Formats: sequence, structure tokens, C-alpha cells
Amino acid sequence: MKKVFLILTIILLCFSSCEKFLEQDIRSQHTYSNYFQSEDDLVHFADGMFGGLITWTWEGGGLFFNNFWVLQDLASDNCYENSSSADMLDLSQFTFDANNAPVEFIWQGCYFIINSSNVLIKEVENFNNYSSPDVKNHLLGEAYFMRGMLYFELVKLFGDVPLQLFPTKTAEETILPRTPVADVYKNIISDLKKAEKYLIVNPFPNRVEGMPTSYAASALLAKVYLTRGALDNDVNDFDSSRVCLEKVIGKYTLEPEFSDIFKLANANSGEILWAINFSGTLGEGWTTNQFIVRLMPTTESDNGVRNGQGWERPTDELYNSFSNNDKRKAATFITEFEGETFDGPYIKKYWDQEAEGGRQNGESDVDYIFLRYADVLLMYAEALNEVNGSPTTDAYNAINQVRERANLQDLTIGLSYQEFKDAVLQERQWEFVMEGQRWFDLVRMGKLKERVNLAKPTANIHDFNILFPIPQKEIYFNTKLVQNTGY
Amino acid sequence: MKKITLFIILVFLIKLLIAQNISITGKIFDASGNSLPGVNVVIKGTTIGTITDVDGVYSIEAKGTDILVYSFIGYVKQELSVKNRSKINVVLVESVENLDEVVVIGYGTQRKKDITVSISSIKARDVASPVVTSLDQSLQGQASGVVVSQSTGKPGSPVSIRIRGTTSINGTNEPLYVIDGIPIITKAEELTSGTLQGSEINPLSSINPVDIESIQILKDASATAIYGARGANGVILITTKRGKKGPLQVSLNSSVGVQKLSKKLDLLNAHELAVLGNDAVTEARKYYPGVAYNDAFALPNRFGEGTDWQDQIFRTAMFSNHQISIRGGNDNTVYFMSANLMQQEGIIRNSDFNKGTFRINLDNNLSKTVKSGVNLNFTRSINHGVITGIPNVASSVTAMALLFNPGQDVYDETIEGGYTYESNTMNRIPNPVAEINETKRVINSNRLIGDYYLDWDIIENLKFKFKAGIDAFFNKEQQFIPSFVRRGQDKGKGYNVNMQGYTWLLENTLTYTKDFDKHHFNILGGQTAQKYVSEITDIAVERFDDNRLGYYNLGAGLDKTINTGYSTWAMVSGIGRVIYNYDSKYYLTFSGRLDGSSKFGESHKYGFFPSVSAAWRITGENFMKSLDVINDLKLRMSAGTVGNEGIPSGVTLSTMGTLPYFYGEGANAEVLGTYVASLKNEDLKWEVTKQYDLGFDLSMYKSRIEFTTEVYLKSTSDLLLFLPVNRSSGFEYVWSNIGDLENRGLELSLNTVNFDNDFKWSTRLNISFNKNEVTNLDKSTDIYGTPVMNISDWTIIREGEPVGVIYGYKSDGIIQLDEDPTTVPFFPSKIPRYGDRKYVDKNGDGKLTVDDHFKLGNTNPDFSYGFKNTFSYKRLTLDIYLQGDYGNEIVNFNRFMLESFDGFQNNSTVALDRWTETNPTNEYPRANVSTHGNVMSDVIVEDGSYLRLKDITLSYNLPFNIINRIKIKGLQISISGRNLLTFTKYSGYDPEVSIFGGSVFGKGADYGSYPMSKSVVFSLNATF
Repeated sequence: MKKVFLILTIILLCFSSCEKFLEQDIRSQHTYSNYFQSEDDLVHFADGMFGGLITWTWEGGGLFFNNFWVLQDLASDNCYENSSSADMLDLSQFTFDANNAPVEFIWQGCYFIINSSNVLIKEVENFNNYSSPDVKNHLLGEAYFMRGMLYFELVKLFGDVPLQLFPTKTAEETILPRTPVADVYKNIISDLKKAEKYLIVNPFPNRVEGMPTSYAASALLAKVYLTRGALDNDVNDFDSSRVCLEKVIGKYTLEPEFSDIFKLANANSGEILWAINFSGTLGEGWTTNQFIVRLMPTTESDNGVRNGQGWERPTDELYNSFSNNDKRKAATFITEFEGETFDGPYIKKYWDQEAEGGRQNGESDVDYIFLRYADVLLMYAEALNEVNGSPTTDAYNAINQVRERANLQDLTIGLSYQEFKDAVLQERQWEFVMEGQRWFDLVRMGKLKERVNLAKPTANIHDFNILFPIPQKEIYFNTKLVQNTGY
Repeated sequence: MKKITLFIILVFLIKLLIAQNISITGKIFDASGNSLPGVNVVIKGTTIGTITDVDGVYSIEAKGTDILVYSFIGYVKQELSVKNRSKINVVLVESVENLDEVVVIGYGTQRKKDITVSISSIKARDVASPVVTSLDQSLQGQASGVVVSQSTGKPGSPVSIRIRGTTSINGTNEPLYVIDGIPIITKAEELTSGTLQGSEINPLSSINPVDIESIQILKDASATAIYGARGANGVILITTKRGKKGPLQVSLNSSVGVQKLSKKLDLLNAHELAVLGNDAVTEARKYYPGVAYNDAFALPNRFGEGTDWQDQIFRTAMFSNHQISIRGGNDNTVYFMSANLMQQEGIIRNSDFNKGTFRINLDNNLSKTVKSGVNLNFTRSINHGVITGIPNVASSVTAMALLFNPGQDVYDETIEGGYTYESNTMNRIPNPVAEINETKRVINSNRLIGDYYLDWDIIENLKFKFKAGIDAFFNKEQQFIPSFVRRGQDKGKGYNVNMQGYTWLLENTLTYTKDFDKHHFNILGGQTAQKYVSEITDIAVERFDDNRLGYYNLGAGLDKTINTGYSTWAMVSGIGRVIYNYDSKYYLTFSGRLDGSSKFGESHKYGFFPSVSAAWRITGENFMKSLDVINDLKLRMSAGTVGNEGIPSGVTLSTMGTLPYFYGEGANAEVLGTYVASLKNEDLKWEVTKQYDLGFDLSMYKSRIEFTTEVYLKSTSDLLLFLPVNRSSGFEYVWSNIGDLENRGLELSLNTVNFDNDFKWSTRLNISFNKNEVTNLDKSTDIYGTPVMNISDWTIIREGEPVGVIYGYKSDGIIQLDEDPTTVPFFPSKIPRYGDRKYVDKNGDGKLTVDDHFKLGNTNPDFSYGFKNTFSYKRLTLDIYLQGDYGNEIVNFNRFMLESFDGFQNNSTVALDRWTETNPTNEYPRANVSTHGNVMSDVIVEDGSYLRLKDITLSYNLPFNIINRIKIKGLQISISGRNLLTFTKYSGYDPEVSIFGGSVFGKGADYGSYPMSKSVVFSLNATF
């Protein structure tokens, strides 16, 4: 019987430490509560915030993986959809409703990164033991840049949006009504001004390329003012935009050849203010980014593209608007390859044939250029025209720099305010095909319906399409949201 | 031996007294030919009798006109006239029910007549069908209140069991399985990674059904409260066979059989599809003249029947199952050992399930008061799978076979791999034959389930029991997809996922039984602790230039991804129970369990789950004594609270995840950043189910008629919900306790022995009705189903409705030529034309939107039933087992594709009856390439009711004079058919289907599923 008692005793001893036995034991993951211990943890968290731009766990691709830039050109006069995807066809034909998946992805992709930026701001402020004050400042600048940038995207796409400025602790506390556009803009401007200030000194030698800079913040802030100015017709905003742009003017130069902008050799340099950095090493084929798979045709030649689907293709209106002298035409489109003639033009600007030709499946290292100098110049031209009520010499200079590179003649002197504005819009169309600009540009200039009707006579475009619908799912979960008119 | 000697002396004395007596000897066997020691043999109407010795032999003196009564616990009593015979061998059949039979309840046993809770008992004989490969399959239709859904015909795949309805939405709904006292791992995700599509492992396939002695299904709270936080979905107690004192008994069982697809679907042939494809373009060109014809369908007359792709993937599959068991022991040690080898081919080529199982159960008396023993069960299984049931256009091989253009050949020697790559139709269907033949998917599983126990009778009436158990596993999932198969995406993909882990259990209980006069007490107290640990290594490799080495050399691929993980949970519990009865008339039971779980936050770690039950055994009353007809009548009721903690561990914590980013283009540009992956919820707590049960047991004509009926109410509150949240939170889902749901039900079971002579006929009938309702979902949040082809609102969990309601549009015929299409309510931005299908505009606003959705059906049956008949005449036995569901609907998503009428893929033959100007049918729309997409409507919702001849078995025990000659004790041959006949209106392969299994988010969906087979099996059962 002794043995039995021995066993009993051993068992009882085993459970004397009962409390510890029932502790949650998560060894393969960090928990938020024990994660932030050092400066490095904050830096890694900032890296993860940018990571949300290229990849993310819910739906596969990150915010700029495909939907963001596809939507801009598809829901415009630039491109039409050539796949059987109902969501994309709906965007192309303006038959989309609140259940459109790409629109939903953009909504959730923005807020996903916004939460990271909110967490980063809070944790950076909580931490005290920095190796240098520049580290703290730059991390704050990164977070404010992201938050400002993404609320700007949201406010342009959806109008009033819930303004969440603190890390989410419970989902309930984020059930917020839509904040009026004016207040959202105030916060965007405040965030970007902080970013402009904090990003001046970058203390991270390994985090330079693919990292937003103070100039990028200024240029983005200029775009914010330009957009709000157009919305409220407020000349002060246009002037603020001019001031911001003048901080950047002269600090960059245009890439001499348009087609070189997208060459991998020129990544993160030349006229690029900030590009979201992708890499083909992250996955295979279309899983890293979709610049090649969506836009390019599959070629017969092995020097071309193997898995090009050509889902988004230029409208005749867009293709025919280019003059044959315009170097951008040949750099933007592909109609034939090594003797193979395609059934019309495809968009090839993202394809660096020398670096990535002959690849099997279309995975690509190409980056998404968020801001480049040509954009700065064209914004500057637009802002000056708005401030003065007519184009100034500087305005002509700015737009003509872009035209000259494209091998186009300078604009005729003496254009009226509206003529110059139209010229800027036209220049932006030629310059930024599939660079995530077109829908915004048309809305800002009040030309969406007119231009879409021209390019796509069968499109179901309405006045209310200057905003996208709040995703229906979001309205289910947040009953304080009211849908945009028309949807 | 003393008793036997005494009896022999007694018999001898009797012989002296009654001179005209004759001496009778004989041997007593059970149905499988084993000799039965200890059987009572009594001369009817006297107290004169004997019992059989260890070899089952008896001898008795009786008059030539006497009747001998043979009885043995657990066997049907037999009466035989002596008729002046001197040798009478008897076969005793195991009784279906017996009141004195001992029933296993949680942490103890009880006499059947004293049971006051809701327990269904299932005997070895009913689960040991040779055709059944895992014990959960064999429970189908066996017990009321237990609904078993075998949702796929894939060999070795899991089965879903619902005991008294769906109680949880995101927590588990599967019962707890306890094998010889050890709660084993039954959640597939705790055993395998799930990354390997196409092969899942059935956690219960590790238990060989033939090793099972009995199964008890605990249904009401009073029975399950002793399992506390894991009792809400019922508990299935499995007791394996133990050794028996006596000489060595060897039992051999061998079965071989064939399985076939029950039916093929009628599809268009190559010519018919080409005509359809061209018509679809012609029709579209009426409105959009630019639409181009598909070259693949040019000159349709060049096509004939073409390739039958169903024949290409299905086969007649073999089945074999062999086992040997030995059983025996002496006064101190008894043993049971078995070995089993099972090989089952699937009816889809290159899918199969093979396993070997060993079991040793040993019991040893250490002293007069101490007994201990060991049970060990080892299983190794190899499961080859094909991908089925994935709700995308062409991920499942069955869907591929249905949709592939019959106008194309299987093989194309001109390209790498030698297979036609994909179909030349608009939807590019991958070649299913290439997929089946060239991709490799296998799960290798090794699992050991074992326990050690020690029973000690400390003093009289006080028993101590110690138990230590383990369930340890090592599973390896491997997959290789060569580059030339379309799923390989030109790259080739290989995977190797290892998951290993264990759960251990330590348990100490004390049981005190005491009778004071007519007061009987049985008191149990104890403590138990359990822990689960698993580790996973996940290797994924892509880009293989050379496919030949497959998953045996993943190093040959260029892009490698490795992940590892660790998961654990622990529980500590105290248990207690008092069973009291007065004179076997009035019963009262209290039981409860205090559970502590690591899965919950600090404030909600512990939960207490109490229950009470009372019963009145009316036949114990004096006034019932005169009613001979009724031998047992019992009224019982119970109430209690049980819990559900079936959530993943760590979900109450906010965890961090990783995301890559690139600073520049160089080799060192990549960084791995972090993000907050989940929200913390420290308030997360147990889901609680309150359950009330009222039952009534009646047994008549010496248990020839046994009837039980029960009604119950189960109401679950604080539902564990993995709730989608507003994305503006930055999160997708959070775990929360929101909402209530309720199950009400009625269960009936009737067991009768209709004839009991040379010809015997017994029946067992059970019917279960269950009604489920989500009574409260805070914030009136609708929870959407799992998307099928991007449609997720086909089923919605909604307040006031049951879980599993189907929603969609109601069809309203076809737009005919005498109508004006422009007036037809239609989808915004889509233009209705002649020949298009109309839908009911519920709110009359002139357009079809979500607001026009109707409730189209319910995937839960109104009732489920099982009806078993056993006929036997002398040595011949016929079992006929019918089983079915009534009143449930199935969403046949296959029809989206098979009735697309667009030529984008092959269609079913209903396409031949499509609308044309000359065939103004109201049933099927026109052919058209510019279709309006997949519309979720009543068109694809079908009646899923079925009645099935689940099992029919004819068996014959060879007579003793024959088998004695070949020196074996018993030999039974039998032939069984499974699923031979099915009566159903369902148009798909089989009504027992659900691609998401028992999931509350998508039960009853059919798309590209692995069809059930019908099978015929021949078995041989010998005992030595």
C-alpha cells in the first residue's frame, strides 16, 4: 500500500502549482502586452506598418498589391476590364454597388495600416530609452505620414469617414459615426505637417529606400491642399499647396527618359520622391504584385511575359489621345512583341524588359511609385493657375518640363484658366496611366462623368460616382454609418 | 470451484433421489462460437440447476419432459425441452437490452435499471460491421438524439456528430469522446495542420470498431455535467473489450469487398456541348453583335460522344479489413489483444486509406483489494487524398470531371507531362486526370492512445481509482504538385508539414457505496488534470525545375518557406457526484464539475457546472407488482448546466504577427516587420448550456418491448462567437460572448422482439426531432456563411431563425415572347431579355436586390431516424438497417456550373431542354454567353430528405458438426451491402453531402464533393 500513497503524494505535488499550470502558454507568438521592450521592437513595428502596403494577411495582397491602382484607372476613362471578374467589370462600367470587393479591400487595407500607425504613435511616446532623439522623431514621422496619407485616400474615396486616432482596444469603441470631411482634412494636414517635420533627419542607414521623406510629406501635403481647395474652392488652400510644392521644386530633377522611370536600375532614385517597394522574391507569379500579370499580354516569345492576363486594357479614347510623337505612348503601351502583333494595346510601363524579360510567371520587383517629380511639377502648374486665376510663367514652365521630356511641344502661351486646367488634366492622363491617379484627377477637376461618357458610352455613370459606396459589410458591423447618396 | 463441486454433489444427490432422471450434458456457446463459462442451467419450476465450467460444459440430471432454462447476464434467456435428449448444445444470443446489465457512466458504472439520466447504449454487435471503418460512422441511426452526418465519401475522412442539435456557433459542436476514461483528441485541427487540401484525418479512425465492447452516449446535462466544460455537446464513452478468465480464445475476421459510385450524373456529350456553346453565342449576338464564337466549338458535327470524364476519375474500388484478437486469462491476469489491417481504396482513383491498429488491454489483480491494468492502442495510417469539395469553379477533381469539355482528349503527347493542360472553354478547367495521377498528397499518421489504472478497495465500500493516460501523435502531411499540372502553376509546389504532440491525463477518484436499509448511496469525488501540447513544422517549397523526386526531395525547389508553431492548453478539474435511491423506487442524483481552463483570461478561468436529476421507478411500487405485463416503468427528469470551451488556445490575448517590407531592391532589402494580429478579450468566458430533460422508460413482456421517449430543452447563452467586426477597427474578427440559442427536441426509441422461437425477429427504431433557434444575437448582427463562388449570404445566422437557413431569390419562370422584358423586375445594371429567368420582386420596387431574398429552406432535418431489423432462423441471420433524414434542404451549387447554358464548361443534360423561341419552357433559361452570373435562388435548393438501405447483412453460422471437424469453435460467413438503395429526390451524386461538413456556416452545401459509394463486402469470422 505504501506504493499507492507514494503515487498519491506525487500527484498532489504535481498540482501544488495549479495557477501556473493554467496560464496561457503562447510560445510561438509575441503578445502585444509583452512585445514592446526595445527601440528595435518599435522599428520592426514600423516596418510591419509599411509591410501592410505590399502584403497583408486577411486577403493576400496588401493595399497597393492591385486594387488601389487598378480602381483608379478602371473607374475612369483610361481603362476597361478584359477579365470575367464581376467586381472589376462593375468598376469599369460603373455598375458597382456597396458589395464591390476591391472597394472593400481598399477600405479595410487603409484602416488596417491606420491601426498600426496609431499603435506606433502611442508606443513611441511610451518608450523612453532611445539611442537618439532622431530615432523617436523619425518613427513618429513614419506613423504620422502613414496615417495622414491613408486618411487622405479614404476621404477622397468615401467622403466622411470614421476618424480613429487611437490604437483599437476593443472593436466596440471603434464603432464611430462618419467624421465630416472638413475635420478629417484638418487631421490629415496636422499629421502630414508633423511628418514633414519629423522625417527631416533619417537616423536609419538601412531604411532609406522605400522610406517616405520630408519632401514626400510636403508633396503629399500639397496634394491634400490642392484637393481640399478644389472641394471648397478655397484659394488659401491652393496657395498653401504652392508653398508646400516650392519646398520640393528644384530638389529633384525629371528622369531624362520617361521610360527609364520604371526601370529597376532607377528604383528609389531620380525623380521618385517615394515608392512603395515590392519584391518578386516575396512569392511567385501574381502573388507578389500584379503589375505584370494584370496588365501585360502573354507573349509567344520566351523573352516576353509568360503569365500576362491583360485584364485591364487601355480604352481607345486613351490610346488614341496620345500623339505619335509622344514618347510616353511607346513607353506606356505594347501592341506587338518580337513580331507578334496583339489584338490591340496593353499597358507595359511597369515591365522592365531588360531586367525582367523572359521571366516565367510575371513576378516582379517593380515598385509602386506613390509620388514622383512630374506629379510635383504638374501639381505646381495646377496650383499656380488656381491661385492666380490664370496660368503664370512658372505654371507654363512646370508643365512644359514634363511635355519636353515626352517630346511634345510647349503649350501655347495665352491659355485661359480653364484651358490651362484642361491641359494639366490632359497632361496628367498621359503621364500617369495606371499610376493610381486618374479617378482622383477627374473628380478633383470635376470631369469624371463627362470623360467617362466620352470613353465608355455604355457606362452607367452618375453624378454621385464622385464618391464610392461605404462597403456594405462595414455598415452591417457599424450601424452608425450612413451610406453615400446614390448607393 | 467450490460452488461447482457443491452443485455436482447436489446433482448427484438428486440423481439418487429421482431414479427416472436422465443425465444431460452439453456445451454452451455465444453467437460467435466462444464457449460460455458460468451460464446458469436450471430445470424450470425448480431450484435445481448447475452452471457451466470454464469450457462452457455442463451436465445436469432431469426428467425427459423437463424444460431447461439457460441464463447468463447479458444474454437472452433460453428455454429448451429435454425431449429425452442426453446431449443439448446451446447457443446463447447476447441480449439487446437487459435491466441488470451494467452501464458505463462517466467515472463509474450503474445498473441499467438504476439509470436516471439520458444515456443511449450501443452494443459491440452494432458497431462492428465489417464495412464500417471508424466508430463514428457506425453510430449513424443507432441512437435517438444523435445525428451523424457523413458528408463525404472520401476514405478515412471525418464524420460530424450532433447530439441534440447545434449548441454553438464558433465553439465546437462535436461531442467529447472518452475512450476507457481518456478524453482523446478529436478535433482535426489538434492533430493535423489542415494545410494539406484533399486529405483530412478522422481522429476516430485510430480506434478499431471491432475492439469496442460498448458505447454509451450521454445526452442530458445530468449525465454530462460530470464532464463540465466539455459536456455541452454530449459525451461518447467508449469501452473497449477486456480479457476474460478462461482458456485462450482466438478470433479471426476477414472482409473483402468492392465499392462503386452510386450513380453518375447525366452530362452533355461533346456534340451537344458544342451546339450549346454555339447557340449561346448566337443568342448573345442578338443583342451584342460583336460577341465572338469559340473556335473550340466550330463545326459541332465533327464531335460525337467524346470523353466521359466521370469514367476517367471514378473506379470500382477494393476494400479489405483483416483482424485477429485473442482473449483469455487466469485468476490474476486477463488480457485482450488485437491487431487490425485495413485497406480501403476510394472510388476516385489514387485516393485511399490504409491503417494498422494494435491493442493490448491487460488487467491484473495485485492483491485481493488492488487491481491494476494497462490499455495500449497504436495506430498507423496512410491516407492518400485528392482535392474535392473546394467551393471555387474548378479546384475539386469531381467538379473538374463534371465541367471539362468532353470534346477534348485526356492526353496530349505533345506537351510536357503528356496531359491535356486545361479545357478550351471560357472557364479553363484543369485536367482532372492529370491532377489525380500526377499530384501526390499523403498523410502519414502514428498515434498511441494508452492508459494505466489502479483500483484499490481501501475499505469495504470505499474504492480509490488512479488513472494516467496519454494520447500521443506524430502526423506528417506531404504534398507535391508538379509544374505541368495546372495547380502547379508552371512552378511545381511541394509541402511537408509535421505535427506532433500529445495530451496527458491524471485522475484520482474515490467512490463510496453504502446501503442503509433501503437507502442506497453512491458517492464519487475526485480530481483530474489534462494538458495538450503540439508542435508544428511547416515547409512549403516552390519552383521545381525537376519534378521527378517529388516531396522526397523538397531541397530541389528554389523558393522555400518554413514556419514552426507551438500550441498548448491545460485543464484542472474537480468532480463530484451523489447517487441516491430509496428501494430502487425513488432516485436522486447530484453531480457537478469545477473546471479550470488555460484558454480563458484571468477573470474567467474557472467554471462550475452542476446538475440534478430525479426519477421514479414506478414498477418498484407495490401496486405495480401485480401487473406482470410491465416489467419496468420509469419516469425521470433532469436539469443542469454544462459548458463549452471548444475554442483555440490563446484567443483571449492580443498577439503579434509578421509582415515583410522591402527597403530598396538589394539582397538585404527585406525586413520582417510586426503588426498587432488580434484583439485582446480578457472577458471571454465559457459558453453555458442549460439543459432540461424529461424521460419515460417502459419495458414490457419481459423486456420484449422497450420504449423510451424523452423531451429536452437546451438553451445556450454567452455564445462563443468569432465575430466579424467593423474593419475600421483595423481587425477582421474578435472572439466574444454574444447571443443565445436554443434546441428543443423529442426522441423516441422502440426496441421489440417480435418473434422469439426458432425464427427470431427483433426491431430497433429510433426517431429524433430537433428544433434549433438563435434566440438572441446582440446588435442584431447577421453572421454570413462560408462563401461558395463568392456568395456568402446563401446562409445567414440570424436572430429568430435556426442555424442553417438558406436564403436567396425565388425564381418565377422564364421571360416568354408574349411578355415585355423591360417591365420585368431585374438586377440593377443587368438587362433582362426573352428567355432569361425571372425572380420574384418581393418588395415590388421594380428591381432585384438583397431585400428580395426569401427564406428558401433549412439544412437541418425535421427528424432523423434509424430502423434496424434482425431476422434469424437457426443459424441464419439477416440484418436490415434503414436510416434517413427528413425535411432538410441541400444547396446544389454544382448546378450553377452545370446549368450555366453559356458553353463556358460542360453542362448537365437539362441544357437540352433550354428555352428557345420554339421551346418556350418555363423551367430552364436560354443559352447565352453574356449571362447574369450566379444567382442564388430556389432553383438550386433541393429537398435533401432520404431513406437509405444503409446496411444489409446476411450471415450464417456454420453448424458445430462441420466446424468441429476442422477444429474451430465457430465460423460465420456473411455478406453485407452498404448504401445499396437510396430513396431521395436529390439530383446530385448523393444526399449525404456537405462540403463544409457540420460547420454552422455552411452545412448542406454541395459542390464538387467526393460522392458516397455503395459497397458489397464478404466476411469470414472464425473463432478458435
